[in-house]
Amino acid sequence: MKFWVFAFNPLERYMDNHKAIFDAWEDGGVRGLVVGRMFFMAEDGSHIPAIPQDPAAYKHFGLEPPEPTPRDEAKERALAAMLDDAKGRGWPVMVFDSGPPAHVQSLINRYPQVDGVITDGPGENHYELARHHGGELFELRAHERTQFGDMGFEVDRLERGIGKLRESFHNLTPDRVRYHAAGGALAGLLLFDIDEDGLYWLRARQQRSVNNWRQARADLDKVDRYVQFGGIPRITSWSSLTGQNYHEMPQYFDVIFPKHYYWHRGFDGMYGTVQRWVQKFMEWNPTLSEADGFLLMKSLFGLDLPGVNSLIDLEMGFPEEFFTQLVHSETRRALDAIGDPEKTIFWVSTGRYPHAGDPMPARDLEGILRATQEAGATRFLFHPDPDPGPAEWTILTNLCGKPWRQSRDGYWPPDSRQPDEYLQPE
Amino acid sequence: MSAQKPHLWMRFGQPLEVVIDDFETVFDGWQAGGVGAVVFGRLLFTGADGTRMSVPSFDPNPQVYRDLDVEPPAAPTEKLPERRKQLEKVLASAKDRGLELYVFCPDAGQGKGGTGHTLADETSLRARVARVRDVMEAYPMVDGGVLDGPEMGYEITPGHRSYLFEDMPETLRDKATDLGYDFDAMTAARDRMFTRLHNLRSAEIDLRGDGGFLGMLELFDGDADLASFFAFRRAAMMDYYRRQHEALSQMPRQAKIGVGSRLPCFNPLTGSDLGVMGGLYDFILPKLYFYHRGFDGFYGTIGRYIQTLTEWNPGLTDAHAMKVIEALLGVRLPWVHSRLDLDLGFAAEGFETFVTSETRRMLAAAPAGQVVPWLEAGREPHHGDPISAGDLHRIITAAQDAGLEKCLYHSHTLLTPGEWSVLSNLFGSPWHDGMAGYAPPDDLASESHSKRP
Repeated sequence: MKFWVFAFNPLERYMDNHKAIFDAWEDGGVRGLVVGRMFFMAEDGSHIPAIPQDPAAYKHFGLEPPEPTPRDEAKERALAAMLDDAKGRGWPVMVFDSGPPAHVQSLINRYPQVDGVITDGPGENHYELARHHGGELFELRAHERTQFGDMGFEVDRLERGIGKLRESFHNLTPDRVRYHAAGGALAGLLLFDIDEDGLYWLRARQQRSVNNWRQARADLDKVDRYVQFGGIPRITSWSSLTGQNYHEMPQYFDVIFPKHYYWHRGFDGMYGTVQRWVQKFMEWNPTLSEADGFLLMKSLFGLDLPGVNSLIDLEMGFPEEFFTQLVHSETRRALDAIGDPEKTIFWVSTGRYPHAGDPMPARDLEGILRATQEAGATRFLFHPDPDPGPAEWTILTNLCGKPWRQSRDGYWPPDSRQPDEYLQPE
Repeated sequence: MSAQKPHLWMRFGQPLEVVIDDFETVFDGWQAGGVGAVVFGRLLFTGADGTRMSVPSFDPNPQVYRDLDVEPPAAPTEKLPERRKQLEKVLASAKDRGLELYVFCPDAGQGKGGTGHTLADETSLRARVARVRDVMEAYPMVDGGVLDGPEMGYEITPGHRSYLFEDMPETLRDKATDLGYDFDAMTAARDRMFTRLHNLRSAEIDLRGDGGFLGMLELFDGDADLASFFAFRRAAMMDYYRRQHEALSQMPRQAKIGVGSRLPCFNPLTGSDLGVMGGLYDFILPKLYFYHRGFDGFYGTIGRYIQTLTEWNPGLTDAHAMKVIEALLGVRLPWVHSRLDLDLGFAAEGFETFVTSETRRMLAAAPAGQVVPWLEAGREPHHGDPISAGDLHRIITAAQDAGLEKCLYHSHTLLTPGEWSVLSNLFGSPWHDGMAGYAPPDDLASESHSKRP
C-alpha cells in the first residue's frame, strides 16, 4: 500500500532534522506528506502563525488585510526547506489547514510546494448523543439556525423534528427495542417514531454538509492556481448521521480520508462513541439492558461489533473478526461509494494515546491495515498519536517499505526509549 | 480457587500525592472495585520546589541504626509537617477500613553500606535492614513491606543494566569460596558460554535445541562448570535472602515482608528460587510482566535475546534464535518465529500457555494465599509497548484459572479507565465511565518518554 504520514505539531520536531527523518520515512515506504496545523511554537508555549497573511492576496479579493501577526521567518524558511525536501522525493504535500480564499492564497504564496489543503470533519454535524467534544446530537446552535434558515429550511420545523426525536429516544422500552431493532430501516422508523419533521431535520443535515463542501470548493477555485481539496470524514457507519455522504463527496474533494478510528474512549473512536451512545440510551431509558443498547446501535447504524454484547466487552479490545468483518466492511463501503481507490486515503491512527482514547497496540494497527488492504484499498495515511512507536513503525515498514530494525545509530521513531544498552558507550 | 473472593492489591506512590490529597474518594473507589490491600511508596513527598519524590516522609531514628552498627541516613532538611500528618491520616483511615497496608521498598533511603558486593557485604545488609526497621517503627499502623531485589542479571545484551555476563565481579570471590564454589572455574565457564553464544550454527540448534535439559547442556558442550555458574547464582542469592530474613526477624516489631522476582522462567538466571523465598518470607511477588520493550517485560527480554543472538551470529535466523531461547528458558511460544511476531502482540493461546504455566510454577512455590504477583499493563508499562485492558483481562483470567487468588497492580498513578473497568469487574463492583466519585488518574510516569497530546 502507498503510505502517507501526518507530521503534526509541534512542527519543529520535524523541521529541525527533516533530512534524516524523511530518509528513514522514505525507506519505510512513506510516499506522501500532510503537514499542520500551520503554526510554530514560541519559547513561552504560545503559537506563532506559520502562514504570513499576504496583503496582496487580500487586496486581490477586495478585502482589508488583517493586522500583521508576529512571524518567525527563520522557522518559515526551515518549514519551506522541509517541504522542498518532501517535494524533491516526489511526495504530494497537503496542509492540514484551510480557510477563505485570501488565506489559502497567502498559504500557497509562502509555500508554493503545497499541493492541497485538508479540512478535518468537513460539514460534519454532531453525532454524539451525550454532550461530548463540544456538542450533542439534539441541539441546534445559533449559527446553525442561521445557516439552515439561509438554506431555506424552516427552523421551527427542524426544532419540532429534533424535539420529537429527543422525546422518542427517552421513551424506549425493552419490548419495543427487541421487536423492532432487528427489522431494518422501516422497523427503525417505527422504533424511534420518526415522523416527517424528523426526516426533514435529517435531510437538512445532509444538505448542510453538501453546502459546506460546495462553498469550500468554490472558495479554493478563486485562488490563482488549482489547489487540491481533502476532507477527513468519520468512517462510513457514522456518515448517515454526520451528514458526510460518501457518495456525494467525490465531486467536491480531490482526496477523501475516511477515519479508520476505532479506539475506546477519547473522541472520534468507534468503541468510544458506541459506549457513550449505549450508556446514554440506558440513562434515558432505565428499563433497557446493555444488550438492548447494542440492538439500538445495530438498528440505527447497522453496527454489529463482533464479540460485543455488553459494555465490558468493549474493554476486551478487538477480536480478529473486528478487522476481517467490520474494518473490511467499512473500507469496502467507502471505496464503493467514492468509486476511486486512488482518491481514497484511509486516515489511520493507533498508539498510546489515540485522540486521548485507550491505547491501541501495534497488533490492532496491523489488523486495520491488513483488512483495509484486503478490502481493496491502495492508500492510507498514518496519524501517529502522539508519535510513532517502535512497534507501530515495525508494522508500517514491514507492510510498505524496507522493514525497520532497531539499531544503535539508526532511525528511532520518536515515541521510543532507546534500550539501556544503546545509551552506553560501545 | 478458595471460596473467598479473590482480591486485588493496589500500589500507589511515584508520587504519593495523587492519592493522599483525595484519599477518601480514592479508597471508596478502590474498595468498591475489590482492593483489599494497599502497597504505598516509595516514602518520598514532592518538595516545596515542585520536584516529585524528593523529600523523605519522616526523620530517621538514629538509635535504630546505632543498634545495628550502621550510619543513619541524613534527616531531610525539608520537613513538610502538614504532608506528614496527612500521610498518617491516610494510613489510619486505610486501617480503619480494614485494608492491609504495606510499604513499597521500605529499604529505600538507607544509610551508607559497606563496599562489598550487595549479596556478600554484611554492613550493606545491616544498613538495609535498619532502614526497614526504621520505617516499620515510624509507621506502626502498616502490616509490613514489599522488597524489590536484589537479583542477578538475566539479559545477554551488552550494556543492559541487568547484563548476565558482567554480574560476577571479584567482590563475589570470597562468597563463592565460602559456599564451596570455584570462582575462577565458574567465570571461565561463563566466558565460554559467552563465546559459545557467538558461535551458534542452525544445524546444531536443530539437533540439540529440542533435546530438553540434556540437549541444551550438549549445546554448551556439557560444561560442568557452567552448571556451577548457575548453581552459585542461586546459592548466593538464597544465602542473601536467608541472612536478610534472619536479620529482619530480629526486628523488635514484627512485620510481614514480601519479596519479588521476575517470572519463574527467568529465575534460573536471576538466582531467585521462589520455593526458598516462599518458605522464608510472608509472601512472594513474582512479576507477571509480559510487555514488549521497556524493561522487565517477558516479550521485551525475548526480543533482546533474539536481537543479540542474531547480531552475534549473522547467519542465524530469528526462528533459530527463538529455539535457543525456548530451550534455555523452558518456555514455548510456537507463534513467534521472528521479532515481527513479538510486535504483533499476544496470540490467544499465549494466555493459556505461558501465563498459565508461569502462574502454576509460582503457585508451586508457595500456597496461593502467599503468592501476590505484580501486574503491569497500560499505555507505557515500564517504558514498554502498550498492553490493552483486554490483554490485562486475559492475563488475569488465565492466571486465576491456574489458581491465582491475589495480585498487585503496579502503579495506581498510571491506571487507565479501561484497566480499572476490567479490574473492578474481576475483583469487585464494576466501575464504568461517568460514575460519580472515584475515577482512575491515567497519568504519565514522571520519567515517561512519551508525550501526551
